Amino acid sequence: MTLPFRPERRRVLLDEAFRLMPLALEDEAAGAQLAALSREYEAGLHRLEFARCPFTGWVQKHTFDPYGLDGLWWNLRAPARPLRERIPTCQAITGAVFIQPPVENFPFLARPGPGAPFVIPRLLEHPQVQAVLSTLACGRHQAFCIAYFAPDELDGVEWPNDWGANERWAEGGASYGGWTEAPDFEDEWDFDLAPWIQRGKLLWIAPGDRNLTLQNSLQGCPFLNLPGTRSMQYAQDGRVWTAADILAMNPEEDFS
Amino acid sequence: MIRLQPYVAAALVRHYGLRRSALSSGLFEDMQDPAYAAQIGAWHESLPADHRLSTEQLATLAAPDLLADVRILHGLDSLTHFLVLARCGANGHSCLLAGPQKDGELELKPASGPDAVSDMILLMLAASGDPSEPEMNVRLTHAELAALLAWIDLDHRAAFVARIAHEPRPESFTAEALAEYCQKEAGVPDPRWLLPFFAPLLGASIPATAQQAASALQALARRGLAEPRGAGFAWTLPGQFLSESFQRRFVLAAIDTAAAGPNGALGRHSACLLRSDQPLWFIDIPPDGEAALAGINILDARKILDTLFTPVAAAPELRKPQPPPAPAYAAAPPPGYATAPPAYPPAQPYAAHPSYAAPATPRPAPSSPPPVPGFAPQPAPYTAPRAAPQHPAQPQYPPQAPQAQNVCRNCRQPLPAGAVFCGLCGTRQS
Repeated sequence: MTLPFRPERRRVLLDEAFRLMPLALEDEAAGAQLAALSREYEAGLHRLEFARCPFTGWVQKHTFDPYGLDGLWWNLRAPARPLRERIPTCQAITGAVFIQPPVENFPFLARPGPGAPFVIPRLLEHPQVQAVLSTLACGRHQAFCIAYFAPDELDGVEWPNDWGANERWAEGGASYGGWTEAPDFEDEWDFDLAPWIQRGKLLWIAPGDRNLTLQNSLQGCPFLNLPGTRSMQYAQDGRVWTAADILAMNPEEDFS
Repeated sequence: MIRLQPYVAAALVRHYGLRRSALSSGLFEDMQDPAYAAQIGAWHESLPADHRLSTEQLATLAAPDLLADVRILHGLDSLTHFLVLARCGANGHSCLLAGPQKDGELELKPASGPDAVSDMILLMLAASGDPSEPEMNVRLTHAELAALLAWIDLDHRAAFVARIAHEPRPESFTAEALAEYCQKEAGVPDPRWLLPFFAPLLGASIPATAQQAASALQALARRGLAEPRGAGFAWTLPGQFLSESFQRRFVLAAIDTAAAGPNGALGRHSACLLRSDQPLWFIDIPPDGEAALAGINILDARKILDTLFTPVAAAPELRKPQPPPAPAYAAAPPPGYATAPPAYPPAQPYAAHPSYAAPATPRPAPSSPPPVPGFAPQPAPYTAPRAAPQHPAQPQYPPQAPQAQNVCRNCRQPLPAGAVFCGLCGTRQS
């Protein structure tokens, strides 16, 4: 077993990876070196407790980079993380990050989600689905994890992409596993969490609760009416923007 | 890796005029002969650079701000024992590992910092897989913990006997059997069994009579780990799980630290990490208050180890012996210190560690336990390019018993009969 990396080692890995990223497009040796760095980074990722299954009580652990958005875990097009991470009853994991500026400077595109926790009503409307909301630190930023649980695989439900990735790993029994791409519809996000908590469809875990006690009461819930961007945030090269920013952008401004 | 006799270390510290902290008093005594110290210093400086200690390493040896006694049992038959000496300075932490040898030598190995020591132990605990994290969180008094460990040992031994004799494993154990085991085994330095391994950390809390054992067993029953059955006690399901996972341990690390808190007073704290084939257990044993036993993950273990190995303040100076001689740092705890025993919060094993807020229990001189055949570490032998100068016969070392009528008129250091100069401060006596 590889030990989780310390911040110093992570910094060394990322600095070297960022140096190699532009070279790796043309230089095969640099590409191989970058792949090796990425593997070491992935092996050293922290495995944190994201949620507890409301049906079985099992704890959903997941890799995460708790030191910031500049980790390769957040690389939208090539997220450095293991394939199979969800427990059998966990159907999807989405998330949000309240970004505390300035954002880190990294050369890849990251899509950490909106700035406040949200739910997807079409999923929670399904009688067998429940979601669990928890929070964890990501460097100076505050991350929110929303995990969707169902006791069995559900036919006809289109699950969202994995948090921070543009695809989701889907299992089809013992014989099939693969990446599938699902569209992220921002207009279906619901940031008003109170009704879902009242209906018992959304459970929450208090910040810092190591026992991961599932709570279903509005009283004391710290996740209600949080500030933060209500749109998908994109980040790269020290800048953060949303789709609205792109649409409003002066065409002469270089936003690449 | 460098090996030094304690008197050589003392001479080097004297030669280079290094400050000593109270925590080095158990490693070596003061050298009182400046001429001999100079001789040792010259010998040390003649060694190749990679065979001698740097000034920073010597300073860490002389004035550690944290001293941790670490024992790691691999499997059931291989014990590694070393001391961690750490010092906090303006440029960060410096760290030295010291392995006490059978012949009294200290085998010294520099470490890049407390982080490196944590990771070294963590790698042993991590083994080949991520540990499971059972949701078990038990608080126990020291006596209950001792009874629990003794019971696990008894259970383990009984399982062996039952397997050999083709007999059913006994289901319950009596308080009398537990007390008898404690009396017979707690003092035997055999780290293969849990109770003897933990005995240095539990001190006088180990049940000695059947009544004390019965009381501890009843407390374990109240905590849901045991239940009365017939004339004795049997495990409940959680107790059985705990017992079996302790029996299947493959790494057991005990860390006993002494360090100064922010107020400068010395405190002591002990903790154990036990890795079985599945869970990784953390057993926190503060000198006062309840022990806590919880399943933890690797990240928690790293935070605990980092905290245990990182000094937070400079340890007090080593007190020079004054007549009448007083043991080092045996002063009474500062006012209020003994009344602030914050128990380790079991739900947050990674939270601020209370080790330095513990009462300033006078720590026994940190010495290695009696050597156990087959259990001593077997490091690669170091051969110095030159033999160290032999220790002179005079002056006496350690110093002779102080005589009230024959002490230095300047520093009150006891003097041998007929001494013309004080061996410590050099003041002429006649």
